[in-house]
Amino acid sequence: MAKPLFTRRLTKELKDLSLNPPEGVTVEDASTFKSWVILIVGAPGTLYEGEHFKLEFHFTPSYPLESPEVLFIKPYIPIHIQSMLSSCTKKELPPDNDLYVRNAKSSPKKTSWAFHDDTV
Amino acid sequence: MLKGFLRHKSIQPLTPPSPTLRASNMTSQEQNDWQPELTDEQILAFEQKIKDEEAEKIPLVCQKESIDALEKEFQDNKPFLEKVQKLKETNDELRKCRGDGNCFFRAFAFAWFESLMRNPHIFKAGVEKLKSTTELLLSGGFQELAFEDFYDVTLNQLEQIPDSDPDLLLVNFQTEEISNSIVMHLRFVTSAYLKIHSAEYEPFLIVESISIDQFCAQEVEAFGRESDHLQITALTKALDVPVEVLYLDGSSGDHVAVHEFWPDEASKGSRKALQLIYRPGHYDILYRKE
Repeated sequence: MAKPLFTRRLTKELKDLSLNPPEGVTVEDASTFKSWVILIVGAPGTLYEGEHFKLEFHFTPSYPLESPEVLFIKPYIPIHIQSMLSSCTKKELPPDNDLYVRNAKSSPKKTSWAFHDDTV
Repeated sequence: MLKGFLRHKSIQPLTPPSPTLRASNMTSQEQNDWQPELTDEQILAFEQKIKDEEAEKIPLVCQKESIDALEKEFQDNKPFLEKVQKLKETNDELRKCRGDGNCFFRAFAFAWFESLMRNPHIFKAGVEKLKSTTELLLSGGFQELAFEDFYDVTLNQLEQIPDSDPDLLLVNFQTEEISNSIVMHLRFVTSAYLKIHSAEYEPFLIVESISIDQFCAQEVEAFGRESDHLQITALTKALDVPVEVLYLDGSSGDHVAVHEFWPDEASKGSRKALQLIYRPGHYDILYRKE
C-alpha cells in the first residue's frame, strides 16, 4: 500500500470538511497529519451563540482505530459539558472546576472522569 | 449517564497500576469520597502493555498446529482435558489467534478466506456477498467515508485468493494494517446487520437495558471488544457463512458443547460450517480430520 491508511483517511476527511463543513465549523490549520486546529462558532439559539472556540486535534498513526486527543486551545473558556446540553439554561462551571484546573494534566487522555449527575 | 469512554473488558481481571492523580488540597470528606480511578492515559498505557506482551507471545494469526497443543495447555485441568481428548476423535489441528479482543472476528475472517481458497466453487459467491456489504452498511447508516478504506482492503485481500497461496494469506493476516482493516470491516458489517434487524435482536438486550445502537457502538464497532452470541449470529447471517463454535468449559463429562450458527436452517447439512473453538474469553480456529 502506497499510503498509510490513516493519512488516506485524514486526507478524505479534510476534503469532506472543506467541501461540506458542518454549520459553524471551519478548518483553521491542517498542514500536517499530526494535528489540526478547528474553529467552532457557537450555534444560534444556544448559550454559546456566536462565541469562538478553537479545538486542537492530535492524531496518531492508529487513527481511526484510536481516537484523536482533542484540546480546547487559548483563548478558551472552560465549559461544563452538562451546560452544553440544549436543555440547559445557564452557563455553569462544575463545583470542583477550580480544583480540576489547578491539577489538570496536559492531555484530556490523562484525566479521570467524574460524573456529577447520573440522571443525564 | 454521560459515558466518558469505553473500558475494555479484557483488562479488568488483571491488577491495574495504582492511580497517581490525587489532589493534595482536598478536604478530608473529599479524600474519603475519592474513588481511585484510572486515567485514560493509564488505561491506554496498561492496554498497550498487555497488547505488547501478547504480541511478543504470538502473531495476530498463527501457523496451524496439532491439537496436542491444547492437551498440553490443559494437562492440569481435568474437565477441559477430557473434552480435548474427546475432540481429538473428530479434529486434529487448530490455529491460534492473538487474544486482543478481536479474536472472534480475526479467526472468523481467516477461516472464511481459507475456506474460499480451498473451495474454489464457493469463491465467487463469497466475493459477491462481500461486495453486497457496502449496500448493507449504507442502509445501516454508515458513511462511506467511515468504511470504504477498511472495505477496500478486505475486498482486495479476498480477490487475491485465486492467485494466492496459504502462506501469503497467513502473512497478510499477520500484517496489522491489513488484518485490522478486515476486523473493522467485519465489525461494521455485524453492526449494520444488527441495526437493520433491530426488531429481532433488541429483545436480547432488555436485560442490559441498552438499545441496539448503544450495543453496536460499545460492543460491536469498538476495536478490541470481545464478541458473544449476538455478534456471531449477525455476522454469519450477514455474510451467509455457517459457523460452529465448540465450547470448552469446566462442566463435567467429556462432551464438548457445539453451538451452531446457521444463516438459515434450510441450508443446514448441505455445506460445511467453519469451526471455531472457544474457551472462556478466547476463540481460535479448529480443523476437522480430513
